[in-house]
Parts: sequence; C-alpha cells; structure tokens
Amino acid sequence: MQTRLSYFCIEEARPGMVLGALLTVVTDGVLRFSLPSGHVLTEDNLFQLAAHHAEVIYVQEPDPRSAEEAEAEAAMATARVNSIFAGADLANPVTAALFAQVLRFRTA
Amino acid sequence: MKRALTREKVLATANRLPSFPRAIQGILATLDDPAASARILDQFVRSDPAVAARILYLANSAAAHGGRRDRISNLPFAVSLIGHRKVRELVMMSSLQGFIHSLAERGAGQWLWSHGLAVSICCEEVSRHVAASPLGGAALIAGLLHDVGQLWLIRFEADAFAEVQRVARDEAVSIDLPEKEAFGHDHATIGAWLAENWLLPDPIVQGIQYHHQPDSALDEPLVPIVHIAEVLSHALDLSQSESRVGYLSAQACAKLDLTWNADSQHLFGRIEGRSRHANALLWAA
Repeated sequence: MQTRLSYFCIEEARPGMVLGALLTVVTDGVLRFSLPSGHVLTEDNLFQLAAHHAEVIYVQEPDPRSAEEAEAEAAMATARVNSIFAGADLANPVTAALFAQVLRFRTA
Repeated sequence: MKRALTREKVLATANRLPSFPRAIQGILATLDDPAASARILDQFVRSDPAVAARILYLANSAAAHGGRRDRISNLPFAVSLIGHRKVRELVMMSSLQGFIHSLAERGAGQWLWSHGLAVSICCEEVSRHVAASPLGGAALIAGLLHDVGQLWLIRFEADAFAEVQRVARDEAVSIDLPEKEAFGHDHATIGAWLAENWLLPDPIVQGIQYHHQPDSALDEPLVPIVHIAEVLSHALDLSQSESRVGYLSAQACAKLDLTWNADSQHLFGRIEGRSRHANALLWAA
C-alpha cells in the first residue's frame, strides 16, 4: 500500500505509527531525545515523548486511496487554493511563492 | 466619512466591556521570573475547573497513549507531565476564550475566536520557524487579540460595521479600507487602543495596530509575525470563516528572513497539526 506523510499532535499519536522524519526534542539548545525516520513508535516511546514535552510528530501513514481518488482530491484541493488566492497579487514573487507551497502542501 | 471614531470615544465604552482577564496580566508580568510565573499558573489552574480539567485531559491522554493504565488525578503531576510552557499556553488560551466570548455579540464570538486561535498558532510557529523569540507567549496573545477591534465594532457600531463587511465582500477589498472610510480608523487601530487600555505590553499593542500595514513598523518584533500569521491562517484555510489571501508584505517576509520553499511544508504541517488539536481541546471543554 502507498503511504502519505502527515503531522500529528503528540496526543493523537498511537503505537505502531511510523515516523516520516528524524524526530528530535531540543530544550534550551540541548538535544533531549531523538528517534530516527522510519522508527515504529512503541508505547514506551509515546510516554517518553510526552515526558519530554514533544508536541508534533511527522508520520508516514498508509494511503488507502486509489489513483483516481487521489487525483480527484487533488483537483478539489487545487480549486480551493485557487479560490483562497483569487484576490491575491500573484505577480508579487513572495505571494506567488506562498501560493506554490500551499498548493504543493494541499495536493501532496 | 460617515462617523469619526476617536480614541476617547472608544475608551469611553471601556466600563461597559467585561474585565480583561487578570491571569494574562499576571503571566505577562512574571515572564522573567520562572518561580513567580509557576506560582501564578498554579493559582490560576487551581481556581479554574475548566483549565484543570483540560490539563488532566492532556496528561491522561499522553499517559494512556504511552500504555499507562492508571488514571492521573494529581494536578501537580499532570502539570509536570505536560510541561510549564504548555500549561501557560492553555491558561492564556482558556482565559482569552472566555473573554472573547463575553465581549462578542450577535454570534461573532465563535468566528473571531476560531480565527484568533488559528492566527495565534501561526504566530508561534512562524516565530519558531524563523528562530525569533516568541516573547514568552506575547505572540500567542497578539494572535488571539489581533481582531479584537472588530468585536468592539460589532458591539457598538453593529449596523455600520455590517455595511462595512458587505462592502468588503462585494468589492473584494481588505476590510480595513471600508472601515477607514466609515469610521476614520480601522479595527486594527481600535484594537490597539483597547490593548493599551488593558495595559498590554507595547509589542502586543504594535502587533495588533499594524497587522494589516506592517511595512510602517517592521522594527516592532511582533508586527511582521502577526501580519504573516494572519495571511497564513487564510492561506491554510484554518478559520471557520471565508478564507481570502490579500496583501502579503514582502518586506515583512524579508525582515524575518522567511522564504517560502520546501521547508515551508514542515511549517504548514506543524500549524495544521496544532490547530486541529487546539480546536478539539478547546471546543470540547
């Protein structure tokens, strides 16, 4: 099955989730805790993450959508982003760059 | 101009508004003194059952997902588990949630709270992303209160403000333009007058005042952050309202050394994850 990357708050995290990127907890400039990309979270990890006050994790989730469903969702997301930016000045390079990144985020 | 609002006219209504939450003043006054800040938070957490319930919920949620079977009912342990910073954030959000709803009339509270919450999370995450100091929670408060001037307009100039909203919608212009036309000032200025009157620190007042026109006050630490945060909250469609990206200041982005590139995906993901969680937590209680 294909996967997709999503962010979750630590309270939403569950054992068995697979990290999509290196996870580090840094406090006052000191590395307190880290887990590698691809690590499968255990119950102990989740308690340790809570105890180290981690907030958000990046997870590789199963993506059960067919190619057609993914394409249809991307088309809807594109229409929504276009509507949100309809009044924006896309000739301004900064606004255009934000638009491009939001579009990428919504259609990933 | 149909009617000229002045600072004096706006502040003359202050005694008809609910009191600004004392917890916020206490937290802001003790940011440089962790022991005093912890005492203030402890007092507030013990005196507010809704905040205590949310802290216990968060601690139990974290503990349960970590496989812990027994239920945490000890508040100091719950506070130590979720951390001082998160408790402070929760106290500020909870007290301002009650304040905004008591200030709001005509059903505006829910929309402005939802939008303020989204902007406050964007403020904190943008600060973190560009490694700017979040000024000990000031970014969060500025985000939550940036549109408080609109609440004042809805309460005291309801009909005229409804017309302003109609013009902004029909002509697809930023709302500050018809506001200035109708009242002589926009909601950002009215909000800044109120924030000053509540004795909020100057960076918060400036962040509210210039969130639509950041280029004239870019050296104020919260001005570029609140401006960009509001644009992002619309771009990511986070508020329970009509999202519309208008003006984005290139100078504000440059001031923060913020470039929209592949790294922005992580910023967007963090904002979306935190917003989803904050909405669930704060609406559930």
